[in-house]
Amino acid sequence: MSAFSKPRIVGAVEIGTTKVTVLVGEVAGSRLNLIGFGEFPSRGVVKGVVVDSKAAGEATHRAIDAAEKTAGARLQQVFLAQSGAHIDGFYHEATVNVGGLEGRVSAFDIENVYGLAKQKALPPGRCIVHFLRRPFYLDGTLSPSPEDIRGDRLSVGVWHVHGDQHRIADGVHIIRNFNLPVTELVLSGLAAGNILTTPEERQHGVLVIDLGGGTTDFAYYRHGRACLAGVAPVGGSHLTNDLALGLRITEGQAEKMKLLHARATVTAKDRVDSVWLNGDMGIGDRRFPRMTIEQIAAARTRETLEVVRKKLGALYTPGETLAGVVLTGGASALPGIEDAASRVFEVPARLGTPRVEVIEKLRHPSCSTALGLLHQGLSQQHDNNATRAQAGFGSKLKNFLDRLATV
Amino acid sequence: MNHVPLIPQTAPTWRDTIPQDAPPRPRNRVARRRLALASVRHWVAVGAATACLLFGYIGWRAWRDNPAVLAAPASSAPLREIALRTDGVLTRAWVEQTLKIDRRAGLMDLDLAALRDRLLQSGQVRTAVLARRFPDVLAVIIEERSPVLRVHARTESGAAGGDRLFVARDGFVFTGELYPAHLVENLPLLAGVTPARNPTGRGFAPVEGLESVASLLGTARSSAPALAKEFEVVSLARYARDGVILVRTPEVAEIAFGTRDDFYLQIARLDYILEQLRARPTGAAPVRSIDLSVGGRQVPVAFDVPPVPAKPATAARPSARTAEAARPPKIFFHP
Repeated sequence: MSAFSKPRIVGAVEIGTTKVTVLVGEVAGSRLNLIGFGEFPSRGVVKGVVVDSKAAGEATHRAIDAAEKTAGARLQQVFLAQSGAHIDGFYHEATVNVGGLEGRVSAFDIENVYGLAKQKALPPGRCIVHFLRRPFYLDGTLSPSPEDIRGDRLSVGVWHVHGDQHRIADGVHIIRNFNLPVTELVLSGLAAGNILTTPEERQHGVLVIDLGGGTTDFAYYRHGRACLAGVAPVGGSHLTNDLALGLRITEGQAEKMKLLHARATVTAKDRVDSVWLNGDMGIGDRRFPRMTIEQIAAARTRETLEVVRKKLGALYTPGETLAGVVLTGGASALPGIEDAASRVFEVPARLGTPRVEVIEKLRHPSCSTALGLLHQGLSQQHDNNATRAQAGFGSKLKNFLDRLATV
Repeated sequence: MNHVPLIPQTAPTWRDTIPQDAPPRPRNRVARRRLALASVRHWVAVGAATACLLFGYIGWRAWRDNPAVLAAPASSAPLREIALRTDGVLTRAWVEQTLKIDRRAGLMDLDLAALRDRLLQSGQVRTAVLARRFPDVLAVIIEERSPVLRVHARTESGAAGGDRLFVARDGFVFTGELYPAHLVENLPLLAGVTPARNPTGRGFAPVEGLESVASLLGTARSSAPALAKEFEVVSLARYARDGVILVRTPEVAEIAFGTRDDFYLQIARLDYILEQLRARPTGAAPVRSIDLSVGGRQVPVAFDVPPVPAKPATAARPSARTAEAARPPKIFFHP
């Protein structure tokens, strides 16, 4: 891209359960400048899934309009964050015999084994959101870049992130109805992980957990790559609901109690220490033991984190997660969340901060996904363009000659 | 025979299953406004592209039907006429004679820069603009120098230039042509300085002080025309030293004008003094000089001494009283 070419205006849109966040970026060459930000309370979205298209569409369009106004530019394309309880994943592995000259792994072998690993049929009505390739293994040995290395058997595993195509289409059509194309779809956990972790942390193993309002997204990195990502259908709103039920108060009051007094770990020593519901001594004002509030919040938080650990399955081991756990999202503002995560995952935990220089407003954990979405979207777009360029005539001819050589 | 692809087909991604080519369906005010603006921009772009295509087609048709119209819009038509516009006295005949254009040459063949140089060589032309006016007219717009004084100097051939050399307001000395005889006769003669030749040998260096002289003459012509007509010689002998312009008229041998004071006031004083002097009885001593450059309210006026009758030889040595009497009398007017 020449210095005189027109910069692209891209937008990162996250349609969350509690709010819609939009970031506008100006891409000039390899530089990304953040030029606009828009936010609007979300409506018609439950657990990350659009249940009222009209209400969700209006909230999203208002957020995009506000972001475009602050940026002073019109979006040309959108990267959309994907979340929701419908997101699921499975692992599939493939192995091929190395057929290159003198037993060396060729580009064809790599592409072939990767293609076979991605060749798993999906249930009806599902579509792929991401293929997360894990490192290659050559004769059972980890080989990050196996091309031109001697060996007999090349294997690779791919984590398939898939979702309900109708639920995904709902989000895409909301953007389309604003006359904008969705060029990349990024899982929220991956977006947050991209901006909150360094390449070294990803190499050593790190788990990123985005505690949202309706869902908890997570991405697990090992050997420098995302090897598992998914969504747990619990979030901050469940904690609010637990408080409302446990204390017999309204959801609005429960949200207030959560923000003011809830903790992810219990620190209160006795039941005498109590807090007022409203604090105005008016009719309906009541006192609640602080310990009760903390116990409810800690139990729900522990359960949420345990759901994530259960979803990670056997792949997660504390010994392979040396960089620990990084927490983000609106619900990560709960005091003591790091201790709770440390206990559940048996590794140190910390709150994530963006690795890029941004204004203070965007450093809030609830903006991490939108920030990472811009970076991850651009990175994915670059990879896709490179793949399309490689799929040209020259690449096909090279593959054909490689195959001929193996016969 | 079944065709087996080299690289296996992967599971369908969201790009494959969710088409985005359907037209958008805005369901709120913000989206409807955005879509309307996009439509307007789209149709403006389509209109602009259509207009470009239409103009291109019209141009192509014109070129196809009559290529000469576009290929050779002015195929060197011979020059038919020279259209002249000037602020002076030069005529079209003079211009034609100076330019020496071959009438068979086409308009596009003319070297306008060279023709312009020929006009400027005359000196009388201060600026010249030449332009082709298709198909066959050469437009010449010239600005001439106005003569302020006549000057006597030797021309390049060594002969005296006589009355044909003039000095313009900018001090440029040039050979004037086509000026009416009465205009030339009324121009005063420059004295006191000799125009210096240019180092190249062609023409003269500009004369200093002509700006003030032109201002003086202009003031005199506008405020006292009868007086201005009597200016015969203008001398710049004292101009460089003390900024004085000397003028000779039939009545007064030397009138000194100061360049530091207002010319209008000096002309008015001169007119008053001359009027007073003319009122003297017949036979009075002629006026030798009037010095208006002194400034203030007093103007020194000097008179010539009337001829002294011849005395006997015994009175060869005049006395002091006689010598005092022989000095020119000087009086001071208070106009």
